[in-house]
Amino acid sequence: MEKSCNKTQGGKCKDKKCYSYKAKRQSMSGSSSESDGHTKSHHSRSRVHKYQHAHSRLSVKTRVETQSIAYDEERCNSKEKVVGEPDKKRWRSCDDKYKVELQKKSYDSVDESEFSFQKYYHELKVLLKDEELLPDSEDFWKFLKNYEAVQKRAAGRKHDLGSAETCTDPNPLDLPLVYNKSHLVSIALTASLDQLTTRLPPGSHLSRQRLSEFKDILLLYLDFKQKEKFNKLCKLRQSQENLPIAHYKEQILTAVRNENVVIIAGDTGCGKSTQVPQYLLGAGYRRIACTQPRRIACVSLCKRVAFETLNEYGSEVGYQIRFEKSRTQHTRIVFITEGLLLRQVSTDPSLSNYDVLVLDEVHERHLFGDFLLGVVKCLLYQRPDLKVVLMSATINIELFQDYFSQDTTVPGRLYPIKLQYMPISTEDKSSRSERLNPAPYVRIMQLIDEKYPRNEKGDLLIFLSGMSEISAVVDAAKCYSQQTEGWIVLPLHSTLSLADQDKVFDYPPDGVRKCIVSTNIAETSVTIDGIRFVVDSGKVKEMSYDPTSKMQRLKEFWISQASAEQRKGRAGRTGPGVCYRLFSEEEYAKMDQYSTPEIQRVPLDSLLLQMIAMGLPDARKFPFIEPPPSESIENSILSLKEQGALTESEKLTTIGHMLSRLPVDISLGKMLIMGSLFHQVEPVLSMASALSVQTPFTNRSYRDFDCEAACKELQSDHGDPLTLLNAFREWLEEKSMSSSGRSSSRQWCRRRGLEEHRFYEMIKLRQQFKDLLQDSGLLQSEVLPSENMTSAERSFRHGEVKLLRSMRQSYREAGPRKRRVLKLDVWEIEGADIEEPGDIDIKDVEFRLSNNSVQSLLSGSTACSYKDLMMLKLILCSGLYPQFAIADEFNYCKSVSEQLFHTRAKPYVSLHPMGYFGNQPQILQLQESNIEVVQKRGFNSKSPVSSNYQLLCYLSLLETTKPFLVTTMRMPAAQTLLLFCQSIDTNSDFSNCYVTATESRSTAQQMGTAA
Amino acid sequence: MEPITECGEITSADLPGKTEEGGIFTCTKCGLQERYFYRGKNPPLNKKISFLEDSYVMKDPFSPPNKNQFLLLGSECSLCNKVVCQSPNCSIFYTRRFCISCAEENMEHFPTAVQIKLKKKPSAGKCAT
Repeated sequence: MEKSCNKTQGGKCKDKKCYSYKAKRQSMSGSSSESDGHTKSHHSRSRVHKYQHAHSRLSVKTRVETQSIAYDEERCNSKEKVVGEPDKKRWRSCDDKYKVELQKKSYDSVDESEFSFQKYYHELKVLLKDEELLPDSEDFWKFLKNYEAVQKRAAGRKHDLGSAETCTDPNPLDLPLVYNKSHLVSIALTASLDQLTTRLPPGSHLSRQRLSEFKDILLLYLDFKQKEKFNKLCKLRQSQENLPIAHYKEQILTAVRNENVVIIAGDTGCGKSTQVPQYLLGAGYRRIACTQPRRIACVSLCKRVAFETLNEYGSEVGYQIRFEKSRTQHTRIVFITEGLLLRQVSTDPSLSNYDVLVLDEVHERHLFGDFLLGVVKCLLYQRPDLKVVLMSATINIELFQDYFSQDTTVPGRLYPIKLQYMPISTEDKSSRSERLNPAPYVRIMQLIDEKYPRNEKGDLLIFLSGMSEISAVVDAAKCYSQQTEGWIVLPLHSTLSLADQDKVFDYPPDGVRKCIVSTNIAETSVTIDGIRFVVDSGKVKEMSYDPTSKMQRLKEFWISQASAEQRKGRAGRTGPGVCYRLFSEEEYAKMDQYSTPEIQRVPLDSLLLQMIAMGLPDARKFPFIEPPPSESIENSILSLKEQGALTESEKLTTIGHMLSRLPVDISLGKMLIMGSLFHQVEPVLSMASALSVQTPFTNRSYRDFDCEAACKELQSDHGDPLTLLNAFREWLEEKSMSSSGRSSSRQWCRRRGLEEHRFYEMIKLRQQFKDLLQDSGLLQSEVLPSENMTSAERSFRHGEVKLLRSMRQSYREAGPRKRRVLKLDVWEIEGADIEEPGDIDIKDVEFRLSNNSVQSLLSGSTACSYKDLMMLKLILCSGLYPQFAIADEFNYCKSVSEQLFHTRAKPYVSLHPMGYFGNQPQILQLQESNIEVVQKRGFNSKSPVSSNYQLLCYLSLLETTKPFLVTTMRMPAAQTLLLFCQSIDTNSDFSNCYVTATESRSTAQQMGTAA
Repeated sequence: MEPITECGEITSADLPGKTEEGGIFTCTKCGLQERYFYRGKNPPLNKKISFLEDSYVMKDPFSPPNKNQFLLLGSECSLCNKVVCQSPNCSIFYTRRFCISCAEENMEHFPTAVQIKLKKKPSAGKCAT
């Protein structure tokens, strides 16, 4: 059959094409018989010579010829099929096909050296459409391009390697001696060459041989990809092996098997956080919880451990944080925040969902971490099967050892760090005003420039205490780097927008160093690689708490020795480093050994309430690792009683029980409850969530002129809480006006210097509050949103959800944000980030997926009428009471910044300059027209009489340079006090009146005309 | 080291009627241990390719499962039948798989280009042990 086919061809063949025809027939004969491999290779070799006369560059061709052996069988089979159909038309078309092919042949051989598969991109693309075979076809074309380039170069240099080999000895291993790259590949395609041919678009100019050649390149590519992936796997396993903790694996597992509590102490970089959970999983533990003090660490550790356990796309490793979880029923290891695990204790007191608790970073001594330690200690009596692993840096381990018992110490992996004490000279200290003198910091930059050549990489990290210090040093450092062009200066603190914070992870261009000027956020929370130099000011601004006046204080302190060591360690994560301490060794010796644990520095109200709700009735007896001051406990209990959360005998009241389930401050929790009772739930939900997250207003919204102007319209003259609500509502408005995925809200926020992320947090928190209120029966569960939609709306929403899901999918596949190279643009405008086109705003997508209707959110965040507004303000007050402040009587004759107020326990407090009233205090003052003249015997008042006096209600008291009221709102004085006070003392004609909140007195004697 | 000793995820019920399914692959040369998903010539998760020899394959851990990608771990040496991983330090494939020791013993039977490849190996660095 085949022969006849050849004959017909031969007959029709013109002389001109005879040469190419021969080539064709050879390959055909090769394919027709499996047995005569000899003849075949002989043929091909002789052809090689012929070719070599015509063209010297021929390596590619020869290779193809020899390879066709491998596909003989396939071809034979397919031939039979074709011939099996005695259809005349088919024959004819077959003939035509061959004719075309013959023409192609000659075409091919003419520009052999010029041939490139890249020219056939569009034809071959059809073959490569298969996702399963080739998930990334662009990558393949790159490979092909390189491959062809290499082939071309090789062909120019020497002749085919294979043809040189003319060994005739029988090969004992039966290996083909003509070397061919494709013999190195163990992968084959299931599709035959013929099947591939039929897939080519009609009229394709590619010959069969070419196609076979192409197929081989494809296989080489697949093999290359396999090797690449395999290497990745090997590298991963090797890096795991190389971690210091790997040597302790057996020791740790034995300890966990035999003991209930194991303490692992290891310094930064020893791999404890990533490896220990994996070891436990490997040892057969199935329900592992790993706590982290920070949300961000939960997410990033989960990602890393999932990757290392080759479970990147499964859910065996998950995380759970306040607003998000990736945890499913298959999850074996869950990374969870300390606070959230505590919440789980209140619903599942024995934590029966877990076999192993790994408490990480216990040395940081956060409030919840400390509390959790106590809870775990109690839990161990209840659950002897529970395994607890404590992980800490090598700081103050004795404390934990004494508290529990066991331990295993793993040395950290740090490179040597050179330490240099460079105390600030007295003249530098005394110069100028209050502002920090940046000169010593710039001098160190100079020193680095002189001492270390620019081509040696390594960035600088400067630790300062606060924002004003940072901006002083940043300005000076920028000036310096403008001269040298050797530095990119980046500030880092928590009030920066997240995008600006992310910049510290970007790469500087070659020959330029990053200079990151940071608060203590870079000490533990943010880990930046590539730091070689650390400058430590030795100072920190830390929050402390005064329980009597309920005021938080942000003050500058010397850091502890432990934290100085931690800062130093940041220079040695990726290589040897240098640490410059801007204090003397004597000063170091005088520092506290350890930092004050958080539990001794914060209000304990919420914590105590939670404890009582958990069934730990007496906080005074709780086995804290280091107990908080008893004064602090007593004050908190008192305050809980005032709030009505505890009875006199310190039992939980109904309201206290509800409050304990809301993960917010007592005052915000009370607002939510009041909101539900007065059927004002929607706006209160929005308000409470807006007040619970960090403010979306950044420095730019106050400093940048344009931003400030744009923010004006958001301001409410009622006060900051209403301003926040306005911003939230306007943001939602912006959302509702744009369609999915093309939201303009990001732009809107940027123009106002707002941090959009905070709004998304508000949305999530709002939903969480709502769920909690529904759970506790304060709020009726909503009817399913789809039930009150028309069918058109429903189908629209269906389409929208589908689109959003696909966007989310493609975002996830695109992988994490790539680090960029920073530009050496010294005075870059802050926040002027270039957005990449085609970027998916994933937060917008998530937002729209989880919120059926922006409209209902919008209407739920508006207080339209005056009545609604007043109601909202009152509910706010009910939560905040007795956090009220009264104006000083001499305010009318003082300037804007000198306005003073008095709170219940703290006199002479100022208005925060970033709050609304800090800039507009006149609105709080009495107008002439409102002063009334009282003609009454026996009534005398120093201050003018009016019913229009106003009080300020505030969210918190904060002392920095002086005490400030933060987040304030104005309220009519008399009415508010009369409404909320717990008792009233007055004389017979009501000309004198004292309102009292429990024990202490709040005077309000100027409301003479009230009655 | 023993990264995954018992996962319990993959059971033979997942793949009825196929050759051996799942188990621990251990390279006799470098000691690499991974859980394989399939051993044979035609991996069930990707019908578009086949192997020229019985190979140990795992699901590609670096790409989403719906892409049906796989990762070739290694196979048995065609001479000594020892299991070896595909790392160039442990084995070479030239129409068949040879563990590195067998390949070195029979060096002269390989084409020169392969010999060059074999000799270059030791410098290529170690793979996971």
